[in-house]
Amino acid sequence: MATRSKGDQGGRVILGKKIVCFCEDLTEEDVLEAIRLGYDDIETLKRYAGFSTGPCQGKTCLMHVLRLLGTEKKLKPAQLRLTTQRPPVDPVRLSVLAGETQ
Amino acid sequence: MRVIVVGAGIMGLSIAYNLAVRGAEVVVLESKYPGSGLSVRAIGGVHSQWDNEHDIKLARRNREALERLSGILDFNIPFRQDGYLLLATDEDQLMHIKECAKIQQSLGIETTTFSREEISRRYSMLDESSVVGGTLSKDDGSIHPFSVVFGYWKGLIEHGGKLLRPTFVKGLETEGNQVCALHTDQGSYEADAVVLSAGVGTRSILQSIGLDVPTVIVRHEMLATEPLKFFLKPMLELYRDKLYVNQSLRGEIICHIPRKDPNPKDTRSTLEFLEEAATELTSLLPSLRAAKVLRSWAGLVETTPNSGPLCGKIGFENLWVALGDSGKGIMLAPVIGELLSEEILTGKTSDELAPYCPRSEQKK
Repeated sequence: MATRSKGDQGGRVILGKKIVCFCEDLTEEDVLEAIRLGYDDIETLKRYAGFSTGPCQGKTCLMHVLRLLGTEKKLKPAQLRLTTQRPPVDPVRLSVLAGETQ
Repeated sequence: MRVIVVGAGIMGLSIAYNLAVRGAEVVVLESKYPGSGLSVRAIGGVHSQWDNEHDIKLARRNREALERLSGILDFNIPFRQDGYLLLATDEDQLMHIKECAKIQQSLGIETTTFSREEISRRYSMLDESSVVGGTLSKDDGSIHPFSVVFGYWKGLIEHGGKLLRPTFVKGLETEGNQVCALHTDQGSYEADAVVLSAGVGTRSILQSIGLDVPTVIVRHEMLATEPLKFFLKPMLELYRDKLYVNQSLRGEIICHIPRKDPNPKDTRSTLEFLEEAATELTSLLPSLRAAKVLRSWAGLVETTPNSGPLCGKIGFENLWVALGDSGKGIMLAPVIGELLSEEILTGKTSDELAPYCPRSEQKK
């Protein structure tokens, strides 16, 4: 399944280790496998595979996964939708939210 | 028998799976994606610390069903039985939960009562100053809600069932004392029986055919922190329905609080919740001060007057509802799936479900 994709212009490709989500160590192959199992809308895919749930909250991974989902399901960019973006934008300490001064 | 289930949350999928296993032809209609209401927003707490025999027995049977679920569905469903600790913050609450514990014990549930000193000694991570005591049910705990949704979904498909998404139900067509068809944005479907398990969407479908249920919607907000070294067990609840805290298997601290906004309609997140939750969490678990919040979210919970489920036949000879679980879907879906599917196929209401039937709700 892991083959050199069209975008690879030479260089070394480590097959089976194309990481799309660094928070959860998810590879491109993991995401494609999940899509093929039927978790083929972005919300379901997120909950099954776990991308977009780590410290980056999707800032690193979501576009990669949307690209894979769009390619695999033959969807146009306009047909893809984002997962709901939620606060906080960056991780915030509980002590700060609790109003502690230290 | 062809059954249409409206709503692919934990409840709808459990009922659909159990119907398919028993030989029915099942189609599930889902307006968004599987679990999209509360099922993928839940904290996953599972416990039997209720105040009456019916609820306790149903919860126990459900826990036993959850213990077997991974094997039956051949799907990894992490169910952690680290215990469920209910904490009382005043003497009245403590007296009440101690009385409930006695009922639970009389039914064979291993619930233990603790004083503040015992809580302090046993759970060093807790700042017990706001707590007067608590009760622990040691075989309870928490389950990963998404995997229950996915497990039932997989099981449904393997048994010949169908899940159609996104398919939005616009209304039901009735004839005499029967519901004969469902009209959706993807066309119409005929059915021998219809089950409504669409969470907060159920009531408007019922109202379209002149029925109603006495439910109120409450917005709950939740947060998750970054993953931390495992330190929190059992799962905690501040009595009652005030604050829930659990540490997921991945290490995140997950916390949720019911909000008080009147007539909530959306699942927006608020800063007020983050501030309140952070204050509560850091005073109960002081070591969390340095933990960072990654995400907050919200869900709409349909609550019933007695905070129990409403499930059974309603209004028509072939129409069933499974709703108003007051956020207890995960605590009851496996057992309700088993019992309600048998009721639909045989026409006989089980003793376990009889108290939750919409018609007999007043009698409970």
